[in-house]
Amino acid sequence: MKERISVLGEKYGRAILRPIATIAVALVIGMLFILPTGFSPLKAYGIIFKGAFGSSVGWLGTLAKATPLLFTGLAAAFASWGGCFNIGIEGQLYMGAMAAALVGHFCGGLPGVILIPLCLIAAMAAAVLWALIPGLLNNKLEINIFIMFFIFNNIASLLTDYLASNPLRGELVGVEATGRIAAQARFFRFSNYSDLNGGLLIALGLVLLFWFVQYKTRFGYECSAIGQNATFGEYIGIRHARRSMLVLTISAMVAGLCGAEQTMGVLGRFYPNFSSDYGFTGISIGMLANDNPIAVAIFAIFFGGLTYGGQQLESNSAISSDLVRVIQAIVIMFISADFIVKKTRAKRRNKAREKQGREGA
Amino acid sequence: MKKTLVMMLALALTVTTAACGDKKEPTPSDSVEKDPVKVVYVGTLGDNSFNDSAWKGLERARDELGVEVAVIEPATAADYGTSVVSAVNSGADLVLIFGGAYADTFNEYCQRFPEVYFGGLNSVSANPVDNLVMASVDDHEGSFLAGALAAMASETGTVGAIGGAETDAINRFIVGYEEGVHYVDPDATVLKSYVGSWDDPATAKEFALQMNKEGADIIYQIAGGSGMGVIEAAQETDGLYAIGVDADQDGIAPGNVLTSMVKRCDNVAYDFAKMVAEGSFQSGIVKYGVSNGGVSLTEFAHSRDKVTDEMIQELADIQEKISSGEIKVTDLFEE
Repeated sequence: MKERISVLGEKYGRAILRPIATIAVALVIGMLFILPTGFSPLKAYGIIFKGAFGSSVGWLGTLAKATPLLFTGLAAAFASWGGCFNIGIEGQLYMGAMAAALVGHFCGGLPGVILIPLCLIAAMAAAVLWALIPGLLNNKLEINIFIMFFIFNNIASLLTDYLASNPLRGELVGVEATGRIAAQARFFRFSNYSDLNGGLLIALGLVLLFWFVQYKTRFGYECSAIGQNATFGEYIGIRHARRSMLVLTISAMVAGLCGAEQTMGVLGRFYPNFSSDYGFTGISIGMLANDNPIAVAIFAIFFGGLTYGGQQLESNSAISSDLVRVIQAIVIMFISADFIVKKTRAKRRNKAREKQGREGA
Repeated sequence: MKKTLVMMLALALTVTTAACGDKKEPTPSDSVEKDPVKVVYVGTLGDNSFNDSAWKGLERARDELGVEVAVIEPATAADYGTSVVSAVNSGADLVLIFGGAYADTFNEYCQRFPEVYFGGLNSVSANPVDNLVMASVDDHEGSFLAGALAAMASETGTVGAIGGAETDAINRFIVGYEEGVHYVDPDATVLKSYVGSWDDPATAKEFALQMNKEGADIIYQIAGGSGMGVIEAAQETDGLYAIGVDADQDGIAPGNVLTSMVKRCDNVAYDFAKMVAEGSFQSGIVKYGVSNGGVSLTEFAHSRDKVTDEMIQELADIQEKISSGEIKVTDLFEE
């Protein structure tokens, strides 16, 4: 019984405390970077948090910055829940954004009710294609999937950059970007004073959907069984390879929607390299959240607030918003360290269990 | 698991509410009083060119006019829109975006924020609206002065111009330069070439050395980062001088850069800030040429052994004639 309680304590206590401690330590280290500027660190954080959460305009800005992170965070969390680590989100969202921009521009004659779903489907399809090539190569030829994902991230950003600045370049003078998408393909905006758009509703809908799928359905349970232990999954009759392709596909669809939201809600065109590391930030949010969709939403809003508040700090003091990037980087550093510790521990535990099992038999 | 969620939500709430403190406290956007006037510059500083120059002008405006100034640095072209929104939310009365490529940004955001003033530079194709003032900087007039000086200082009667790429914007400089050369010395030869890149100083240096072999002893560079190669060639070759562009580049190779044709973005930024600070904003296109200090040559701080008092006097005369309209320099943008 005692053991059971301590196991529970470890499971839930750490799940909550770890991410919060990580963020707290990152904020403290961030202070060290503010001190040399002569600006009070507490005042700086005050500006960031008041800017981000202290007014309705602040919340609008924060949620606008959080929206792409909601998508990428969910994509990362679901993939990891199903036992595959999708670090190709960055490339997938570029392909999704480009597809949405092209359909929105070249099929501009269609009415909005048809055009918007068409753009979304194109974005998801392009992203899935971009995820499945490395996925299948890994599956069939056992090429290392991490390396493949990294290469595909680079190819996606360079390819879309090339397309937007050469064959598909729009009418803008001096700016490399595709043509403007049709007005009826744009998501509605909540306010003039923010980029927040209808994409947020899609993202929040997905949060609930993924929470339901992950915790309330048989499919979600099976995915998590594979995620935690592939051998066990096979044992209870789930075909690992096929299932992980399905998980990757779903994750890539969400990554593609992130690109679509940026194109249709915020930018109106495809701009090369528009993503400020949404994919990678999403991965760290997924880890902080321990793959829980609701927690993903909380951390995405927190990171969105940091970014938006950081901009307010920049325009109200002499401190560059790079500070916020430093804080985010420190958080990511801690998470990756934590991730390695967790993985090695899990491996050790699995081995011990295997041994126990063998001895038991 | 539900317990975890509830606890996480509760914690997140306490963290955020603790961070916000009292909701009634003024937020950054509210705390900025409408007085003093706030100017936000959207652009990436540290370019040793028009962005830095504009920022200098705003610092002068801050010191002399008491306006509040701030900068927002967009990471990529995709961030311009978000940066403008951010600037407006931080209480900006005037948003400045310089550089010739932002017509689209102005078209969208001037309309979205009619209560905020916008100022641009050389994005002349933006739709004219009531809250937008656009500076059109007369690069061709400044280049005319550069050409006139080159012709006066040249001993061989041959001068050169090296552009970054063969575009209208660059040819606008070169046409003005040629006219300036021929105004002083109708028989002078002007050699021209284009690097084809903005960041290839090695090729630009080759071109400069080649031109020097063909007799050119003064070369005007309008080639962005590639232009450093032209200055390097001048540094290494006896009797070869460079003329810099956009920012004051005289100090890069003291003595080897005759002068620089400077775009006074600082004056533009200062003037726009002043208009808003004094409540005398006027929309439309404002010409910044030789007559109102929009373009000028530098003060020859390192090149007085080459540039004589007579030359300076003659340049002043030419400047006077351009200002009064007696000399009309061809503007490629108006054809």
